[in-house]
Amino acid sequence: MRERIVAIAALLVTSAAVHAQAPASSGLTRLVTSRDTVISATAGLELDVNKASGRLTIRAWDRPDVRIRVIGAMDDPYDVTISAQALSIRSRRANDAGSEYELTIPRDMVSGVGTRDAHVSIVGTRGRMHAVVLNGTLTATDISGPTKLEVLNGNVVVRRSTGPLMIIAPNQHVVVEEARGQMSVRSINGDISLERVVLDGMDVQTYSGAIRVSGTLRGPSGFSASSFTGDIMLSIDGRTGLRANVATSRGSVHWPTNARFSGDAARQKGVVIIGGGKAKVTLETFRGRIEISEK
Amino acid sequence: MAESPDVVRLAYGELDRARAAEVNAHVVGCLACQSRVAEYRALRRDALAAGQRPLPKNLWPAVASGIAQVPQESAPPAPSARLVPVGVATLLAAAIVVFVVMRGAVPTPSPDSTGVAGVPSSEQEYQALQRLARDLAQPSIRTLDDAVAEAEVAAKNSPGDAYLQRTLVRIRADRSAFDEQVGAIAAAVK
Repeated sequence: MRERIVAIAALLVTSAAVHAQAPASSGLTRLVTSRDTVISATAGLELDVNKASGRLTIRAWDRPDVRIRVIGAMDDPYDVTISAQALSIRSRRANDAGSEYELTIPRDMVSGVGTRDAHVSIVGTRGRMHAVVLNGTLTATDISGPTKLEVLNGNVVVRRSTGPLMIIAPNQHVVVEEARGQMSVRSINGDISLERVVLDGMDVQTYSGAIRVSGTLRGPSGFSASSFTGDIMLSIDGRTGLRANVATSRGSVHWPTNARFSGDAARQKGVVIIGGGKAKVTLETFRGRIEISEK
Repeated sequence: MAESPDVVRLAYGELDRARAAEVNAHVVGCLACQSRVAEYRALRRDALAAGQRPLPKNLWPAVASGIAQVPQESAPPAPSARLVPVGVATLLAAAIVVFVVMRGAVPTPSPDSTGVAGVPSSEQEYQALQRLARDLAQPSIRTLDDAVAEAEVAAKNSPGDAYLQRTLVRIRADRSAFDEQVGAIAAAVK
């Protein structure tokens, strides 16, 4: 499809200037029906996207523009509102399941995403990102900014992340691969799997799900994982030393042969030390099994 | 230049379903009318907020200026009797704004109104999202409730177990915070 560029930026920026004294929520709104639109994004402008259903893909590029492509069989007009602080894109239809929005945004743009039923994919962003999905899946790949992902009912998959990462996914599973830095993950019914990670800090919790962490824990920050009925499996790099406070009430604790354990006779609560014990770890599960291994 | 007052009424969700669908069918294919509808809605939003803050000084001139630029061919295919000069439409819109600002409220659609072309009102949408979120959260709520119940029994049976006491406090706190968290997620989606 031939790219169509609509130069509405000047008008929108003018509007933002007119309403500079108004709250961020005000601004001029335009209904856009074009299936391919490019809007200039001034530095510091934050993106706010809302799409009810369907698919939403956000990619990053090294241009100071936001490109919005509507893909799919149905027409899906949306409102664009701009204020001095934010560029807001809102789908007009209550049911827009037949379309996909593909947004390409400046790499460092601060972004907020909200959807009811959409499947969201985020690729290559570097700015602060907060994405919220009520009922759908969320995937993020090659992200490097501070990122918060919330999905009430759906899986979250993150591949290659380097910024501080917070994930909240109560009902479903969380999979993170090749992530670095600080990480916080909260679920209730889902499993949490962190694979090939190099973490400076970790706070992971679920209730009925299992937790699996495989990688390197480095630095003096705390690392904690807790479940209620699920197992916890921590597989660390052979060079990683750790000191793990472990506790279970109905489950069991297992550690490698080169580790030292000191604790109660039932071997359900105590401290497991491997190597120099540099990483401070807490592992707790009420009814599950705790297993520490080296690879 | 001409503009149907039904464009204003469409923007404000005041048309009956049949007429809304008729006018909306035109608006969907008319960029100029889309702009008008969007502007009227923005105007209404600002009017809604007028009770909390002063109306921006340049708001009305900016909107009026935009209306003045509506091309002749952009008028919707309304019945001829409904066609009025843009000045009348402007006065109508201005009258609505003045009415709204003076009263500090907007005309309220009937309770069963779903606005334009089946699009729910903002409050309806908010309440629907909150209900949906609560429904979706039920499996997690049940898990947390079960965990609280089991931890309470365990802690009661082992009052000297620091891990159990700490776990019970944490689970209760999580359960207590979860409803609010669900509400916040639904609100963020909107």
